[in-house]
Amino acid sequence: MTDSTPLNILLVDDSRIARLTMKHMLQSLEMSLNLLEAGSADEAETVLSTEHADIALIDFNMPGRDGLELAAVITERYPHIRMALVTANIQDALAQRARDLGMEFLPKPASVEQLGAFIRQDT
Amino acid sequence: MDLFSPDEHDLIVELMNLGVGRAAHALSQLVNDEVLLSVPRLEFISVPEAQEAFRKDLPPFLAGVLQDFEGFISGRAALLFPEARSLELVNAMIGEELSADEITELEQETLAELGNILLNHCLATLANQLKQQVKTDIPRAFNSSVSELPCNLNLSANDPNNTLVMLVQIDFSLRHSALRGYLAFVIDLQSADSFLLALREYLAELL
Repeated sequence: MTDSTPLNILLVDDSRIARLTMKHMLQSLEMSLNLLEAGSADEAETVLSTEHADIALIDFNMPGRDGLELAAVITERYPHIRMALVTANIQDALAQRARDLGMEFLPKPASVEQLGAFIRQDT
Repeated sequence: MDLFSPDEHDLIVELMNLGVGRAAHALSQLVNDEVLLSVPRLEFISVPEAQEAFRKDLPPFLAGVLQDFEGFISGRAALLFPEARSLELVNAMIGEELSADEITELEQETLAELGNILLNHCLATLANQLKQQVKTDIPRAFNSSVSELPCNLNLSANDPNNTLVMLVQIDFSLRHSALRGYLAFVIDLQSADSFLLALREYLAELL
């Protein structure tokens, strides 16, 4: 991927504040990023049906389907999307379930460095 | 209430110290400031004692977050702040580029997210250390008077003689703001049995 091609990153979190916080952090990375947002698993699927995403940063605990259920759908339909579960629920068992799905596990609040390290793997 | 032995009580304090410490680290990242916390004060008290403690220790009006949890330990957790100071935390979290009106508008959502992070860190650390699992529900922000708090914590709906309140009180101190925060965990006696079992298994490996 070249510098001129922005990375499309989908932020999925039911908390507007969490998305806002993450957006501030991602914007501070000084990378060419195009940020997409969804407040639920259903909304994320709607966004993905019309927009291309390279990376998805997904909360776990959301009304309706949780982040891992969404991740399973994304893995099946959009296998090119790299995903991280960004959650305050830092239980080992949950982290393992995320890794079993091929996701990175980032404790919330993730630091700018953690987000950058995850995203730059793709640049 | 002497449900837990001195060793078990010590272990809970240590685990809560660890959990609160991780929560403080998370909070410091959110507010971009150093967070100092007092040693958590842990009490296991009855519902009437909890009601009395709330009346005695808490300010008359509170802003807080409730989060139900279920697993080896089940109940409802609350993060409580004096209502008059909660906007300072919100301001610290979401920055100064927003107007006062916008900050007020975002207060509930910000508190919910803050509670989600702090309460989850405490509960998850407890679960991880005890090799157990706990499921947390969606956090809900609320404002209430101290007299309404027992109702918000579901204390009045429970059998007062069959409910144990694990009250953890911590003091927050930020560089630019000083406020007192409280964490309260309300657990029922049935869930206390599996909590006790997990503590004993942990201690059996340790001792």
